[in-house]
Amino acid sequence: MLKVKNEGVVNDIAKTTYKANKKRNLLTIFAVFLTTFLIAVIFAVGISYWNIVTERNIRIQGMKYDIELPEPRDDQIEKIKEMDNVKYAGILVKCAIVEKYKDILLDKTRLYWADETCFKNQALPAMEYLRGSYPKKENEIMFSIKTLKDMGIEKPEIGMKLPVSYFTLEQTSDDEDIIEKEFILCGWYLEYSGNNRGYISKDFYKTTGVKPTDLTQGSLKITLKSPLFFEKDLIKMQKDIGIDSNQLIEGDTDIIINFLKMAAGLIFMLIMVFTSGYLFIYNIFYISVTKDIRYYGQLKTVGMTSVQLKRMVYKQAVWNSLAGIPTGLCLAFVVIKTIVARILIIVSLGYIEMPVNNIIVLKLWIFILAGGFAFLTSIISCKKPADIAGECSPVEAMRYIGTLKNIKRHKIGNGSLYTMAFRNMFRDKKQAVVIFISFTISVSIFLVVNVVIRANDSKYILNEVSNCDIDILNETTLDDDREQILTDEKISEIKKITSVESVRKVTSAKTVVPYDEDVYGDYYKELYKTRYYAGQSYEDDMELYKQDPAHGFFTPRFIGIDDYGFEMLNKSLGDVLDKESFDNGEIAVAIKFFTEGDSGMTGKITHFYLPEGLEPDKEYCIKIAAVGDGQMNPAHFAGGTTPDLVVSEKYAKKLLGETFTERICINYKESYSEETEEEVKSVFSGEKRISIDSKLESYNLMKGAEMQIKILGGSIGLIMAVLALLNYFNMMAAGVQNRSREFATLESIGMTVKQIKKMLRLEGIGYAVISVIASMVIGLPLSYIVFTNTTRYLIKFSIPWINNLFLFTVIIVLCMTVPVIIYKKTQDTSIIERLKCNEN
Amino acid sequence: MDILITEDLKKYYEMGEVTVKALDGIDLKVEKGEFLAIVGTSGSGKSTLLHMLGGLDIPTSGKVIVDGKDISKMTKDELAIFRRRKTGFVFQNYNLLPLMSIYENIVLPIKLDGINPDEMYIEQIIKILGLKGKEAMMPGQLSGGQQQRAALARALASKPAIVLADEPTGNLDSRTSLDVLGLIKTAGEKFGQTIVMITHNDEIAQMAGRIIRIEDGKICRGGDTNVKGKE
Ligand SMILES: Nc1ncnc2c1ncn2[C@@H]1O[C@H](COP(=O)(O)OP(=O)(O)OP(=O)(O)O)[C@@H](O)[C@H]1O
Ligand SMILES: [Mg+2]
Repeated sequence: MLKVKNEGVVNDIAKTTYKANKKRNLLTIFAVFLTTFLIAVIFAVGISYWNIVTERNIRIQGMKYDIELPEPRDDQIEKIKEMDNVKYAGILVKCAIVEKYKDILLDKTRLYWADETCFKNQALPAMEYLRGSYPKKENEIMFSIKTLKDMGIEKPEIGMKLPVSYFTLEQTSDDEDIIEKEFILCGWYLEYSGNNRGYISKDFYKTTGVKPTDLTQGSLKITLKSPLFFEKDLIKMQKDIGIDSNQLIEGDTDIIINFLKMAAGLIFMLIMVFTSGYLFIYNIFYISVTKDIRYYGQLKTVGMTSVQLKRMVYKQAVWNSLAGIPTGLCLAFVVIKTIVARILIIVSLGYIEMPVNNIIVLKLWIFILAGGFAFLTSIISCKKPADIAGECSPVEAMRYIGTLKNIKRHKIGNGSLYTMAFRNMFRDKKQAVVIFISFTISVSIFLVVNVVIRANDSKYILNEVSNCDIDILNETTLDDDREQILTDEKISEIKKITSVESVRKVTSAKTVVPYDEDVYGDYYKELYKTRYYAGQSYEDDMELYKQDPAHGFFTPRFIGIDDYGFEMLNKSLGDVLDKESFDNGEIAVAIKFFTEGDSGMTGKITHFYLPEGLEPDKEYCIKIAAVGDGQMNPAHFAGGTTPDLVVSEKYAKKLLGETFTERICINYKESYSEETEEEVKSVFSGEKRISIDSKLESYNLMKGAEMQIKILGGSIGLIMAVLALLNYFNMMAAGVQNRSREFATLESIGMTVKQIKKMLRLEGIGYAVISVIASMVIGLPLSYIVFTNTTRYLIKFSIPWINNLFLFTVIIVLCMTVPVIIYKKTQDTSIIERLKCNEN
Repeated sequence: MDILITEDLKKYYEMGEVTVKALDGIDLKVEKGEFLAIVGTSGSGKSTLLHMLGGLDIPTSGKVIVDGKDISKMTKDELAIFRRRKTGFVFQNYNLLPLMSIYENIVLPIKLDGINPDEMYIEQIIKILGLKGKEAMMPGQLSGGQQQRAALARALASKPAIVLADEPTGNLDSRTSLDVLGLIKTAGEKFGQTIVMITHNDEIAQMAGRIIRIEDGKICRGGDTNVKGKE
C-alpha cells in the first residue's frame, strides 16, 4: 500500500517537472519524431528494395528458383536432389511451340512440362493466381492469361476446347512438322514474365519425344536452402555432378555481394540515425538535468531515493516517446506509401509491371521494429542524465559546477580573445564532442546523399556513359542479307542539319583469323579458364579452330573507325597509339572480352582474311599495337571468340572497297535538343531495321527517378542537418545562458560587446571548422564507397565540390551567427542584474 | 575638480505591490584623488550606489557624471571602454572568471585594451597582496580571501583613475585587511587615484579621507563635498 502511494508522489513530481520543461520536451518530442520517421523509412526502403530485386527476378523468369542446370542428365538430377544445400530441384522441359490457335497466329507460345516439385515449389510462387489444376490427361493444357488474351479469349472456362497447331522440339526430326490438336483447358494463371506460356501433362510430354537432355529444352531448376551463394559454390556443384561440355550451372553470383552491400548500407544508415538521435536527446536531457541538479538535490534532501529520481527522468522520456513515436510512424507510413513507393517503382522496376502492393513492404513488424528502435534510442539517451540526477548527493548538488570538477592548471596564457574562445569551446568536453559527432554525422550523411544524387543525376550519367547524343545502329549488320542503311547519302543529309555538330561512323566486316598459337594461344587458354567456358572443351574447340577458322564461333569483326573514334579509343587506351601508323594500316587494336590483361598479344603480328573484301583469298597481316576491353569497343555488334580488330576507316576501305556502316554516332550543337533530335530521326523515318539509342529519350526516362531521389535523399539529408543544427542551437543557447554571469563579469571589467561577439563568433567558427574537417575525413571516403557501390552505370566518382562548399559555408555561417544572436537575445539586461540573477 | 558627481540618483525596484527604494535621491560629489569610504547598514543601498558609479547598473532616474561626462549618454561599448580604462571595480562577491588563471584574470582588462601590462607593477601588486605562487591557479582553487585579493589586484592592475571597491577586506583578517588597505592607499597617492570603498569596518573607514553614511537609499551624513567625515 505504502509503495503505491509513494509511486503516486513520484508520478506527481515527474508531472510537475515535465510541465515545467515545456521547451525541452517539445524539442525532445521533435527529435524522437524525426528519429522514428527516419528509422521507419530506412527500414522500409531497404526491405522493399530487396523485395523488389528478388521479386523482379522471379517475375522475369516466371519462376522462383536460385540457380539452374540446363540439359540435366538423370544421374545429375539424382545427385543434385541429394545435396545438402538444395531445397527443391524441379525439372522443366520445353517440349513444343504453339503457332496458331484456330486462325490466330501466336507469338512463340512455348509448352512446358514441369514435374511436381517444379510446378508446386517454383512455378506456383511466381504466379499471381491460379485457377484450375495442373494438366493430368494427355489432352489437357494450362495457359497464362496473357496467352489466352492473345488467342482472343477474355473469359476462359475450365473444359474449353482449344484447337491449336504446334510443332514439337524433338531434336531428331529435322523438318518441323506442324501438328493439329484439340486441347482442353484445365487451368489458367496470371504471371508477369511477359512470355507466352503453357503447361501440358506428362503424358503429352512423352508423346513429343523431347528429352530433358536435349539442347536448350530441358532444365533443372534448383532452389537452394539459402538463396545467398558464391560463385565458388556453383563451381563446386559443377565438379560434383560432372558437367558436360555444353553445361553450365547458371545463377546470379552477385546476389550475395548485393545482399551484403544492401545490408551494410542499411545498418550503416541505422547506426547514423540512431547516433544522431541519441546525441540529440542525450544532449537535451543532459543540459536540462545539470541545470536542475540543485532541484534534484533538494528532492533528495526531502527524501526521494536515487531510484525514484532516475525513474522520474525515465518517465519523462517515456512520455516524450509516447508523443513522438506514433506521430513519426504515421508520417513515415504516409511518406512510404506515396513518395518512396513511386521512387522504388521507377528506380528498380522500369519495364516490369507489378502491383504497388507487391513492391512496398508495409508490414506491421517494420513499424513495430522502427518504433522499438526509436523508443530504445530515447531511453538509452536518458541513461546518463538519469544517472546524474539519481546519483547527485544533496551537498554536491548545491555546489555543482559541472565543469570545474577536475580543472587543470592552465599555463599562463595571454588572455587574448582566441585563447578565451578556444577554452570556452572545450569547457565542457562532453558537449564539444557531442557537437562534433552530431555535426560530423549529419555532414557525412549530407556528403553521401550528395553523391547518391550525383550518381542518379540523369544528365551527369548520360554525359559520362554515352559519348554522343544519338546512336543509330544498323540491325541487319550480322545478317547474311545485310543492307547498307546508314548510307553516305543519309550521313551527309544529317550533316546538313545546322544544329548537328558532328557525325561519326563505325564500319565493320567479318574477318577470318587463322589459328595462331603464338598470338592467341595464351588468350584462348585463359578464356577457357573463365566460368563462361567452363563446360567447353579447350582441346576440341582448338581442333575445330585449326580445321575451320572461318567457323562463326571464332571469326572476329574487322572494325573501321574515323578520326574521332580513334581519338576516343586512343584516350581510353592511355594514348599509346601512333596516329600515322594507325591511319596507314600498320597497326590495329585488338578488342577482347572476358579475360583480364592482354595475354601477351600486344606487339605481335596477326594474320587475317577478309571474305567480303576485294581479295577474299589474300592473307593480310597487321601489328596489334594495343589490346582493349569490351567497353572500349567502338562497334556494337560482336563476332566470334577471337579478339576483334580495330583499324582506321581509311585502311578498311582500301582492303574492302566499300565498307559497311554498322553504327553512326551523332552529336548535337546543343545536347538534349528536341528539335534536332526530331530532324535527325526524320532522316530515317519509316526505317524499321535500325535501332536508336538517344540520350534525350534516356534522359526523359530517367528524369522522374532522378527527381524522386533528389527529394527523398535531400529530405533525409535535411532532417539530419536539422537535427545537428538544432542540437547545436540548443547547446549554444544553454551554454550562453549558463555563462551569462561570466559575460557580465567580462563586461564589468571592460570587455566591449563587440569583443564578446567576436569571441562567440570565434567559438562558433572553431566548432564549425573542426566539424567540417572531421566530416571531410570521414564523409569523403564514405561517399566514395557509397558511390562506387551504388552507381548502376560505369561513371567516374567526382566530388560535388560546389554543393559541399555551399554546405560548409552554411554551417560555418550558422555556427558563427547563432551564438551571437542568442547572446543578443538573452543578455540584454544590465550587468548587475545578470550578475545577481545567476548568483547561486 | 569633481571626478564623480551624482544628481538626484534613484534606483527603485518594483516588487509587485511594493517598491523597494534601493537609492532614493543621492547627490554626491567626489573630488579627484579623494579617498571616500561608504558605510551603512546591510541593505541600505551601498552596493547599488557603487554599481551606478561604475556604470554597471542603470538608474531609475538621475545622473551619474564621471570626469565631466554623463554616463547615461554613453553607448554600451563606450561604457565598456570607459570601465576598463578609467575604473577598477572590486565586487563584494569577487566575480573572477572561472576558466582563467589568477594571473590571466588580473591582466585581462589591460589585455582587452590591446596593451602589454606593466609586469613590474603587477609583480609588485601580486607580492603585496600575498598572491605570489598562486598566479597559475584557477579561482576555484583559492580561498574566499585569496579570491578577494585577486579581485583587488585585477582592479588595480591597469592603474585606473577611479577604484571602486565593495568591501575589499570583508573576508580578510584584520592584520591582512590593514596591509591591503595600505596598498590601496599608497597606490592611490602614487597614481593620483580616486578611491571609493564600501566597508563595514569602522577602523578601516577611519583610514579614508571622508566617510559618508547611507541609510534607506539616502545619504544621511557626509554627502557634501570636502566636509571631513570625522565626528
Ligand atoms: N534586483 C533587485 N530586486 C529587488 N530588490 C533589490 C535588488 N537588488 C537590490 N535590491 C534591494 O536594494 C536594497 C539595497 O541593496 P544593496 O545591495 O545596495 O545593499 P547593501 O547596502 O550593499 O547591503 P550589504 O551591506 O548587505 O551588502 C536592498 O534592500 C535590496 O533588497
Ligand atoms: Mg553590498
